[in-house]
Amino acid sequence: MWLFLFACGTRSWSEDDLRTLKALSPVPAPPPSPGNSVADRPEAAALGRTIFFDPKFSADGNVSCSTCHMPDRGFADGQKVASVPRGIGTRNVPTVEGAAWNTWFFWDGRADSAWAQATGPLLNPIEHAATPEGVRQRVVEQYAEPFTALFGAISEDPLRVTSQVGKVLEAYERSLSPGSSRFDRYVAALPEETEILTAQEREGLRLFIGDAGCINCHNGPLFTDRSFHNIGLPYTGDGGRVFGASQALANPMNCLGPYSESQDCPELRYLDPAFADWPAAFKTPGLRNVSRTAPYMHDGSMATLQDVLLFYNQLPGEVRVGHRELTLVPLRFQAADLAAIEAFLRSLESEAASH
Amino acid sequence: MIWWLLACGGSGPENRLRSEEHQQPVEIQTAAGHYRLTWQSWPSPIPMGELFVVETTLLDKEGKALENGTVRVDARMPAHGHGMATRPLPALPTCSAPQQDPALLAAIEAGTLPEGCSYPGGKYKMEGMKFHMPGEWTIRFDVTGPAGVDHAELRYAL
Repeated sequence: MWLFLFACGTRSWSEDDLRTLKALSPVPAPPPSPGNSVADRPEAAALGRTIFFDPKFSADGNVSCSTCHMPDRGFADGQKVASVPRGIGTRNVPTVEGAAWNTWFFWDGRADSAWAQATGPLLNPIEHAATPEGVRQRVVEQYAEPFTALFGAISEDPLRVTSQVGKVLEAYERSLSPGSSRFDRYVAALPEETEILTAQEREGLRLFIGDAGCINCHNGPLFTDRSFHNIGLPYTGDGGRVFGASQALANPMNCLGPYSESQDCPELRYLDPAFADWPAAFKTPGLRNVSRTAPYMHDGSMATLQDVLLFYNQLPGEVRVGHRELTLVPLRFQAADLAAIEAFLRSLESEAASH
Repeated sequence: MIWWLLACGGSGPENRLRSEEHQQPVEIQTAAGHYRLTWQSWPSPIPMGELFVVETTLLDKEGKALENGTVRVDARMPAHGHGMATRPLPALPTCSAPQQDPALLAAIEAGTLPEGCSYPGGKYKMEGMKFHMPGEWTIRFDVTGPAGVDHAELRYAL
């Protein structure tokens, strides 16, 4: 009987474990965005939602945010790297769901707010390829009334208007909270033990917060420490955070820039662009709804969750740039343990319908 | 015994603190015995992945507050081989000269106390600290004061 219970993962949680689990749930409201005065206004979110799906904010009139951030693909695109009619990128499309909870944006963190991030693809020549003047023109032609209601007279400065488009997009993204999952219902019931998670999923959770060490980086209610790590993937020329940190400091759309409505910028103020662990480090992605956003890693190199777990199980390859996060050691788990962790990750799927 | 443990930072070895047992403030002595430090964090306990401030009260051996020293706080994860991913800065002292004087700001950032400046009540703040990973951190206080240079270290389990 005891062997059966042990094998099925029905051991009770310790006080330390309970504390850890309670810190993983539920998803809170997004953190403040002081540089964006319309971040929490419903009318800004409504306008941002419309613009998110509008392909006319692009040079060729055929690329919207939703071209790559598809709601029915977990707000990613299911591809290895981003691709639009104009070109192919080098990085996997991150989900927008839960993105507004980050501290830094893009895989390399080169934007310090969701609104600053949103202006990036708009003006990137291989993404929307819009110009600030083109963005302003579209706002004047199509969105003058709601824009004026939010921001007053439409500015003559096209970059300011572009920043404001970013701000309504941020307002929309702040409404894209990962919904409650079976994991959340399970944690809410603790310390009472329930069958909301299966025995396999509970075993996977135990490994996740314990021997597998996933929680070293995938922590907090969004399952990301919002920091950057080099996990030793094959180097493809992408320096990651080491460039992103400097770019964040220089970004004219950052918290200290002229388009921010607050100069209270502690994250930027204390950012260390020379931190020794930045080379080839990329942002820890959140894991809520991770089963819906394959493929994985900043370069989309892992097609399935099983591939991800096999990578951590073996940690193959020499690290050519920077050094691998020292907390990572090959797991050397049996297949059943890896399957349990995967089952737990799937339990992070939100139960409600998509946005 | 319990009060001693509380005053010295909770259970376990005197220089080790677990975040869930972190009670404010924590008193420690510098390595050469020149100074006593009473420190606390805002917020408390130290959060993971969030910026926090360390406020240190610097005292001499007799418990008198020292207003004309410097206290710099840093932290590392020895097992991981890295420090913090932020660049903490000392809060400005109270000065008779304008505080936006670039030379004065540079001196403070470099860890020296310019003429005409002091830290009332012996209170020194280090801003922009961030522990970005769980595990064992070593917090180090580097102090200069009337008795010279000294330091203190404390292990903090997040």
